[in-house]
Amino acid sequence: MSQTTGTDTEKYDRQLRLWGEEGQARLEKSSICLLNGTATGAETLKNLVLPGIGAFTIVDNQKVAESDLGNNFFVERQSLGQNRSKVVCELLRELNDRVKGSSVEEDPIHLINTNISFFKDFNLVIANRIPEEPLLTLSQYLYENNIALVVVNSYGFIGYLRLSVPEHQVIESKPDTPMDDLRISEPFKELEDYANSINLESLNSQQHSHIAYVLLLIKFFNAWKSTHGGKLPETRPEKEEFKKFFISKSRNYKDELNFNEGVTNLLKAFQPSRVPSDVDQILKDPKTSELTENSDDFWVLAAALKSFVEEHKKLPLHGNVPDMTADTLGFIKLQNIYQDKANEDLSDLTGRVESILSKIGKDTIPQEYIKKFCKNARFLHLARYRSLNEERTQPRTQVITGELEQPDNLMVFYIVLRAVDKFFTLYNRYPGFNDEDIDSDQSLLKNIVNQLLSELQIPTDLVKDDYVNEFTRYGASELHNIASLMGGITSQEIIKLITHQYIPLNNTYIFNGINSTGANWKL
Amino acid sequence: MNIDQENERNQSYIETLGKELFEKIQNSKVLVVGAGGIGCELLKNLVLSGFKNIEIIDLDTIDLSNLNRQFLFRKQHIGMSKAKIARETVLKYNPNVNIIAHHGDIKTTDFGPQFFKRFDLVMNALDNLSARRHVNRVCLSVDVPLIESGTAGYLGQVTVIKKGETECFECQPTATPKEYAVCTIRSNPSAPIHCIVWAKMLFGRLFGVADESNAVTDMDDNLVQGDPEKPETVVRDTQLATEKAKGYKQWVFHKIFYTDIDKLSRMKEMWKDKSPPKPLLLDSQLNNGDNSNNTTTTTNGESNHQLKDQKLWSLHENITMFLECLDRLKERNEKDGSLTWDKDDEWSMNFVTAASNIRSSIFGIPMKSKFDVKSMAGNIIPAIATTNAVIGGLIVMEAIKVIDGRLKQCNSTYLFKLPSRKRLLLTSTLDKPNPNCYVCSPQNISLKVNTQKTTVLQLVNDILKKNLSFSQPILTVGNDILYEGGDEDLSTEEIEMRKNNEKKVMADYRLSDQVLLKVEDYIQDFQVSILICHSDEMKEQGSGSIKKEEEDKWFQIIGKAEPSAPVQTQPVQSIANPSATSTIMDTDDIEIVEQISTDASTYSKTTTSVSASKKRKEMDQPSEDIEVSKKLKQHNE
Repeated sequence: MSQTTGTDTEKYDRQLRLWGEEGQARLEKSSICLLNGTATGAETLKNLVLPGIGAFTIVDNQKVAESDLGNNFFVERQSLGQNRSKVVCELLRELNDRVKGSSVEEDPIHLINTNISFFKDFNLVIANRIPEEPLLTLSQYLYENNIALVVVNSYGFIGYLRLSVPEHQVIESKPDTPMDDLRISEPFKELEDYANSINLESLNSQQHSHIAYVLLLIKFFNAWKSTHGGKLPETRPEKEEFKKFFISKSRNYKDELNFNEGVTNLLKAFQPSRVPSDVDQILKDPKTSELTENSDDFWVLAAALKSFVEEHKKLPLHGNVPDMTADTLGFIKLQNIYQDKANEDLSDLTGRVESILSKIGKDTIPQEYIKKFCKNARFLHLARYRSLNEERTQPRTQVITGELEQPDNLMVFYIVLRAVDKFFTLYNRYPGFNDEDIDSDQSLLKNIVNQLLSELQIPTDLVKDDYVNEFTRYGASELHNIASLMGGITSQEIIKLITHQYIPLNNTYIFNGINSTGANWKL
Repeated sequence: MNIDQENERNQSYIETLGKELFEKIQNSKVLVVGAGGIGCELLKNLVLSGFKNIEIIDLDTIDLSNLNRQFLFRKQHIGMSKAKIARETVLKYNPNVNIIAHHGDIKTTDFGPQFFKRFDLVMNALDNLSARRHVNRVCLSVDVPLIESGTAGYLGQVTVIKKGETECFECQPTATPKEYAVCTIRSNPSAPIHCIVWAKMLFGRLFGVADESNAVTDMDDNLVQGDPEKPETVVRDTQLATEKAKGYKQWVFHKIFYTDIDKLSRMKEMWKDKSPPKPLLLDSQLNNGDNSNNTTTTTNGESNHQLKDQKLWSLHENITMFLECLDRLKERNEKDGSLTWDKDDEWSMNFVTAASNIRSSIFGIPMKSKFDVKSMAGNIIPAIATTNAVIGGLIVMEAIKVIDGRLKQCNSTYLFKLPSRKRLLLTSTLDKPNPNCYVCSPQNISLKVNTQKTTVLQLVNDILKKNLSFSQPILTVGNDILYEGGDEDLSTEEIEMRKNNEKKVMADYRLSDQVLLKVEDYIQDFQVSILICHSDEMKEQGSGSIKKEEEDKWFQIIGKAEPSAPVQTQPVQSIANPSATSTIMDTDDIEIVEQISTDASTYSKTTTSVSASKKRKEMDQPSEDIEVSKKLKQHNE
């Protein structure tokens, strides 16, 4: 893992607080390729160079034109006529001296068609304005080599983004409001014993108001169970009744903050700890039972977790205790109880990992990684993106039709953009690119839209002519502002992909700048 | 550049926007307030979207930690004016626009209503609540549309404000900054943050401007037990004088970590339920050598600490660092005069880290790494390029609509962290003004307060400035001006007189029950009438009960939106409310409400504002308020 120096820690301070040093190290190891240094491409890279990716390469054989000066911040007047990949590369490099940048003056389409292995060493490829056919070639190659593909285009007021990765694993999905893992309704032995050891009647009022609510609930759940056939409150009235019972046990409910906290957290406390469906899916994945020495660490850990859950019927305990009203010593005791149990679960899991490793003959997995996996067991996430080829050979017609039937839907833009791609393939220019062709291009594009819809077995009246005309009017123009915004959205998703933190969008995103709306679908 | 070139350059805009609108854009005059993360994006986008007359203002200078997102700045620009460098860099790429840069504070008279009137549109790219409220008020007063925005980590928001047609920035309530009771800070800390706040106060006490209300310690007081009036009860720490004779750092260390702690530990009442703090003697600590792996661990000992700043220092390391900080800061203090605490200053940060950790160790509280202390002490909000890029883009989309006179089509837009269902952006229409907003609707408010106990100074500072966000309030009753802030137009005698009046309680200065007080602010061009309602029930400031929620109830403003309603019952607009997203933005200010003095029998009533740095720092965003992300999230689902 690369060590960030003191100065960089300071420079990167505000982002380290978001994705931590491990996220930063992943960024710094990444190598990203951009096809075409347009405004959209350059703005996307800008937001990746600033936080410090390892290296980028721009492939582009176009020369800087007057139109680039109008929409691309990373070209200058004196660079008119020079190779765009070189100019954009130089100006982007100025943003961060730790990032390596290089340019390849070659037509990306030609490169795809003649030397596809050029892409094998990148972690991620950003394709901008690549026609359908070479894009599918590229997509297939990248998919086979487990390299992420990000397609981004800005077209008039419309932005399009498509991500594709064969398998994306997220250990730190960092949910906004993670539930505390306190096991109140099914306490482990040490916790229950501690709760039982407290005799509330013997406490003075100060002490009574400083028993952590977790312990209070465990005690009163037990008391309830003893008079209700060993069962916790299940129905709503029962839960209400328990609440009254619980409050009645407070000596002075107004001032006993611990009892107040108990009531606040009551609903959460009723929840038994379950294996979330995302995680369950990972545990059921065939990969957990097809391990070889070449298996990813992730799958080895998933297999170990699966055996843990099969035995204990629960995920490993997280071990963190949120702040709550309690006296200091009592709180520390409680923290230790949870921490000890979490450590016990971790060593249990580690043991399972080791036995799997020795069975399949694979090297050890760093303890830190096992620990991180264990702590995040409730939040694991796995995504298998559909490839661009699948999108075309097995279209999600139902999703598309369903959306097209909605008023003011954004799916129409997806359809028209697909048609624009086909238009380009057929005529080697974008619709409306030449002012004099606007009228004829409109009908040409309309035909392609209808053809596409019929292929997808979608009624053709679901895409209004207005949209076709609007796109023809755009004439393939790229507005800086939309490019910049799409660059922001795209780079944000790329950072999620590279850092393996947070859940990136899956898989298509359309932005409509006219009213600042966006939508995403799995297509 | 000739006409053909210009036309070719702008071809895309003319095609998509139409010639007429594009000309409107080119002829408009706009103001960008803030040249930080959003400001940089915004300036670039405006210039490349055809805007040609732009003024940008920021009082801040460039810091190393800005460079991960504020892409108009380079390392060689550190310490220079943000506004000026932003202008220079943009002009380098696009020489054909008029940009005027102001290195100054938007809240001063230089930028009053007359200044704002020059613009067709104002865009906020600000970080702090008080500047945002200020710009909101001026824009309302001169009826110039305002686009308001903010980011925090992966979250962001943009909205449009127009007098009489939409909600203003203050139509919805904002949460007040977190407050800590002084007794917790000074005598009875129970969490790392309490020690960190204490360490910042200590910094101010030792190296800052003399401030009587900073009650953190009295350096020469060696009384550790008893009542000075009754000499027979008194116990004194005679060692203090010996340590003082050894030198400055020995003196400070002994005073705050021995004498003060000794005194606290003798208050048996406080330590019935927990172990008392243990005074530290410097000599024995130094002789102990490296007792690393000391007592405590972080509460959150999960991450693999690799970075220097993320490593947890041992007690011994903290002590060594603390002593070195004392030397260095003392020297700087003597050379440069009083110091202001700054989270981006290495030694200020080391000081607070070391001092707070030593204190934590004394009280059995977990220690924290410098990285974590910085987060808490500086109230740092994560900030990245990507979010700013999205928000910068959204602002210009709204700006184009405003310039085109299509206010009805303007939206409020929120950017989320995780695309949930189909949403990464949530767009909603703009809400109508809140008829009960005291800022944008002509409206009287009432102030319920104990006029016998509240001083004029408390009224001005805590109620009018802090709570109601006046910059320089002028108080009038009938035709008489009772109080005027600012020193520019006043003679020495007048200032002297004002100081005397400030000490009076309200009732003794014509501000008694049922008096209608008019408060004006010329810079904001804003005024409001306040009906004073005396209430014996209202407590003295700071004398509230220990329960947290009652800390700030010494006054009550009726007729002003208050943050309280539960999330579920709020309409869409207020769930994802811009002001809610922008709550804890006065980041360096942690307000301390003094509650009970260390001697539980006496009550004191000072308010200390640990305002490390009053200047607006670089932050381009509201805080990552957990509440907000919850609210946003809930809505998103």
